Amino acid sequence: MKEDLAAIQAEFATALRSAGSEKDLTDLKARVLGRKGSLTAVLKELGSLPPEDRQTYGKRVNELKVHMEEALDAALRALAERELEARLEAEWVDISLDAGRREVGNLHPTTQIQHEIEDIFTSMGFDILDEPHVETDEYNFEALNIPKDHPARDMQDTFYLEDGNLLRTHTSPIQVRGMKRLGPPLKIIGPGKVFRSERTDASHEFAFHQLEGMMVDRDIKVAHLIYFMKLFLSKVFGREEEVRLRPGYFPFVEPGFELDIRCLLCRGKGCPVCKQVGWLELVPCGMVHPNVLRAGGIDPEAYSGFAFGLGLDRLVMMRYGIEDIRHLHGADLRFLRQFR
Amino acid sequence: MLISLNWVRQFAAFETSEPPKEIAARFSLHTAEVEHVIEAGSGLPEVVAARVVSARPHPDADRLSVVTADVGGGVQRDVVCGAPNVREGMVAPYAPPGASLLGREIREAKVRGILSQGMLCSEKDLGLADESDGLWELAAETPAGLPLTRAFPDLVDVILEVDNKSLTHRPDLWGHYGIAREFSAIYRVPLAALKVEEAIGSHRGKSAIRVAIEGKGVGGQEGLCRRYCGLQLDGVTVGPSPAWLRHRLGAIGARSINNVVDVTNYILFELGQPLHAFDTTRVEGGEIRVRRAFDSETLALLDGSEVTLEAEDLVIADARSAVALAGIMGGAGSQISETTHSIFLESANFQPARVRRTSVRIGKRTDSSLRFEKSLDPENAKAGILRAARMLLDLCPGAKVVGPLQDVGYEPAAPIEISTSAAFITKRLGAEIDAKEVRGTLDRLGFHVKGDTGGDWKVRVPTWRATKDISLREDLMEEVGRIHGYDRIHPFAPQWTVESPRIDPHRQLQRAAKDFLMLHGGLTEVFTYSLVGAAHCRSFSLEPDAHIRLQNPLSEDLDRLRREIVPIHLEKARDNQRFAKTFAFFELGRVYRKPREKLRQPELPDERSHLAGILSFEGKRAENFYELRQLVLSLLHRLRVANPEIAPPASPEALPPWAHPKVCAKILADGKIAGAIYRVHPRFEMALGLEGDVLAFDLDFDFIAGVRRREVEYHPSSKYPTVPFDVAVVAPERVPVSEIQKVIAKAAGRLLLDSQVFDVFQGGQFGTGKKSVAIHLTFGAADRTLSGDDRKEVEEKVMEALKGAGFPLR
Repeated sequence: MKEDLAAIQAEFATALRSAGSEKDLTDLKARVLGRKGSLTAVLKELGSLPPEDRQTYGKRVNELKVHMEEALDAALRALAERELEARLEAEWVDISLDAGRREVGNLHPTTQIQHEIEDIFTSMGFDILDEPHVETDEYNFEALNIPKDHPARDMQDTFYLEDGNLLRTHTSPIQVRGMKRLGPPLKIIGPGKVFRSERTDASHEFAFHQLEGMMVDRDIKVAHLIYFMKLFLSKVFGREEEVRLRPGYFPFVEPGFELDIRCLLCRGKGCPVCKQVGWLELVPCGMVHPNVLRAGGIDPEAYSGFAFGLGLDRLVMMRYGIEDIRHLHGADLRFLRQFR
Repeated sequence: MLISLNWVRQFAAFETSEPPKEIAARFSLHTAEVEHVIEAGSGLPEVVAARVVSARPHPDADRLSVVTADVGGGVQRDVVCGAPNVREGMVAPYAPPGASLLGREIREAKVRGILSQGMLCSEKDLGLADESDGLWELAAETPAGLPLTRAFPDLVDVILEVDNKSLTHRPDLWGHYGIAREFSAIYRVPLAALKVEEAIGSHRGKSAIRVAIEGKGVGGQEGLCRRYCGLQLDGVTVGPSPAWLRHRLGAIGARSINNVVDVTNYILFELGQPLHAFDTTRVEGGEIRVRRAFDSETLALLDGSEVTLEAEDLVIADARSAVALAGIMGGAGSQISETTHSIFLESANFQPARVRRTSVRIGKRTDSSLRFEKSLDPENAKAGILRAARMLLDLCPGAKVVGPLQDVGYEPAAPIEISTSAAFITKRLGAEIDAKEVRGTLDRLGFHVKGDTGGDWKVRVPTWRATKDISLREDLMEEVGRIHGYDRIHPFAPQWTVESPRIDPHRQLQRAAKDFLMLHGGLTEVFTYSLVGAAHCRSFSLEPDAHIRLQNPLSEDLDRLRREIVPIHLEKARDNQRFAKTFAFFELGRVYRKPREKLRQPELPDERSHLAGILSFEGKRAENFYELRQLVLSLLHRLRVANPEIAPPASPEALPPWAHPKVCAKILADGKIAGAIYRVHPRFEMALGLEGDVLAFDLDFDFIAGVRRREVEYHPSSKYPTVPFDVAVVAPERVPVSEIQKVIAKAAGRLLLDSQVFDVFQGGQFGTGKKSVAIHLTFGAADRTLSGDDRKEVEEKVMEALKGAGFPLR
């Protein structure tokens, strides 16, 4: 009987080593430990042994049974582990590939800067207005204190339409429309496309984008205008930029200013970008002319205000060092995709 | 405009140690923008006077001379010289080797075998004239070796180029005297009074010419000619101007012509007052008549051109015909020549708008018209003519004034007085400036302030600022603010009531739509022109005449406003396909249609925002269309549009001609048409040279922004289990799957929770023109678990209905 046990154990060990699948293991278990298994047969024979042998021999058989069961379990677990490993290995993917779906798109760089500026001003309580591209002579000129035959009409080469209207040459009509619609006090900005009848080249485009701003309230001063301009420029450029305010002539403001910023390229030393002056003209602005307030239905004795205009395309070009303004309306994705 | 600081200092002798750039910056900060600073005569200090000791012909060159010159200090130099006027004994400027003229260094060099030690100079060589016909002959008594800049200190100068646009509102700054007034205020130095000699000459005799202003609306304060001063001078010798006058004009870029013309130009640049000189003998009939032109009257101008006039134009005429175009240019027939001995000077004041309109129309913007259109001070008409006459008398010893000054038509305007105070000015500036200081600034600029310094003022505006420029207290605030310096104003925040901005839903939607297309769809935003040409319209079968046209287009490619965006996008897609086939872009842009009745602003065109774009793929696949469809529907869901739907177009005419009639759909929002999606029509694809699969979408964004919004309604999720049920049917190929789903939905009623198509298969086994459609259905109820009978009933209903509708089950 001892010999039987040794043979069973040897056979089990051999079979266990060669078992390569879950089925091999369950078969082996049935062959040895199953109802008709070799070890089960030995267990059944225990009763026929003398009592003293039964105890010692029985103990050995039971130990062997436990050992076999554990070995089978361990083998099963190892097998599952190996299968999982194999599956993981098989599931390898090439991480350098993608699904071939479109990448994230992007907004036009002018829109991006426009949104930034809108956010700065709306956070300060400014309303945003959107107005027509086609304007009347009244809104584009007359209401802005630029009567017919005024030399200032030279500053803005105007596209006239066959119906007598025109394409707005600046976003300033928004001032008058805004005043009429909202009444005082008001704080507005109005971004949008404007048109000038100019031959296009690297620095001239007949369609470009401006952003108009206006604040009207009781007792608005020049000092307030400077405050808002400095604040907004520091937000746009992310740092305190050196600015200067000098007289500038625009019929719809009195006094009118040109706000210059230290040349971003040469920092004031003088370079071709700033035409050796060390300053870049950035924001025409001023105190709203009483005639313009009146045209907007606001009493200039009771209210005063400031207004400014920003060239959005120019700001974009300064920010990224874009050399040719014509890229902005070109719809060339090689250009536009760079501003992701 | 070019400004000579030497000239300015003649009236405002400001002293400063600032370099020229700083002076320019100061002028920019206080008055008007200086665009460039030119340091004139920078190479001249090394140039000295040299006396020609001997001049002999060059042995090897016909036109050259070899000159020995005494250059001062007992030194003699040999110079090879090509000037025709070189001769023994003359004095001329000499530039030694090492001197730099007009950026060119003078060197010792052999000229045809003979060493030339430096150079004898003409005015052109020194940069003082555009043309010279020989050496500049200096006065014979000039000692050899005298530095040229000592003999002519004016040659070293600083020239400021001021931006004309920044002078648009300042007629007084179009001459050096007005600029000098600014310097006097900026540097706080006195301004020299302008010398005007009232009783010039003896006024003996009688002028041969009588001046008259004729016609309705021509004379008077608001008329076309507000003042006409005329003066006759006889015994004039027309000839070259003296060096100082030539150089002064040369310094500011004006060419010297002859003494008479140079004097009129000198006054133009000094006072900003244009003058004209007629040859008295060429004015017919002894009359100067300021009158309107006859319609189609022609006039030959000084510049050799001939203009055809209109009845609105103003001319200066003699008894026979027009002799000058008022305020713009003189006529060729009456101009002075070398033989002229009697001149008739004109110094007038013309209506700005008239001068401007005529000069714009005939395309001649002259130094004169540029000034008149700015509204000149009529006082300068008289001051100008008297100063010019004085100069001519000084330059031509034989000249004399004939007859009194004729001063016709002047009715001085009532002076402008503005009520204000130092308190108002400083309050509006937001700067603390002493009242005395405020008053001092206004004084220096020529304003007359009446009233106690600390109290209310009446400020009288000087005539040179009263024509248009200054009439309001705000204008005075500007004067004080700019001279004080805006940079010295300390900025601070206004006080305002905190309120949240009025949210503009339209603009929020714009941003949401752009963000969605960019992030979800992967589209890139583009901008395109709002202008198109007739050829573009025709190539897309659009009626060119339906477009709003420009009166003054830049080119015929850009002469009308677009009515459609997609055609432009198709062209842009073609351009981009040169570099890639797979891309997508969009634009939120406007289209413009002729005005319709009952719009908000009936006078303006119907201007609408459209959201349009292109999806371009490598190859043609139905899935490309499905992607576009899903993108647009998802966008409308994102914008909370009520009931976004896709539907076949009602008729082929409902589509643009460039849309593929079988790969297209209209987009509905709340049951109304909001736009379309389509593949480009093969005909247009071919015409444009498009490749791959190009699809477009076009949404009326204004409509979408205004359409009813979907409200979010919350329903708790069902606690009861749902039941899946798959059906597969055979249907004709061209029946939309949505039709099958409609049949199911109707049959299943409220128990149908979801219906998803999971397979569409076209193939021979169902017969040609047939397809198999498999749909995954989910049944359930909100209030109970469906019983076995419930399930059976609804499943049978669905199957029956499908069979009944002609969709047999597979």
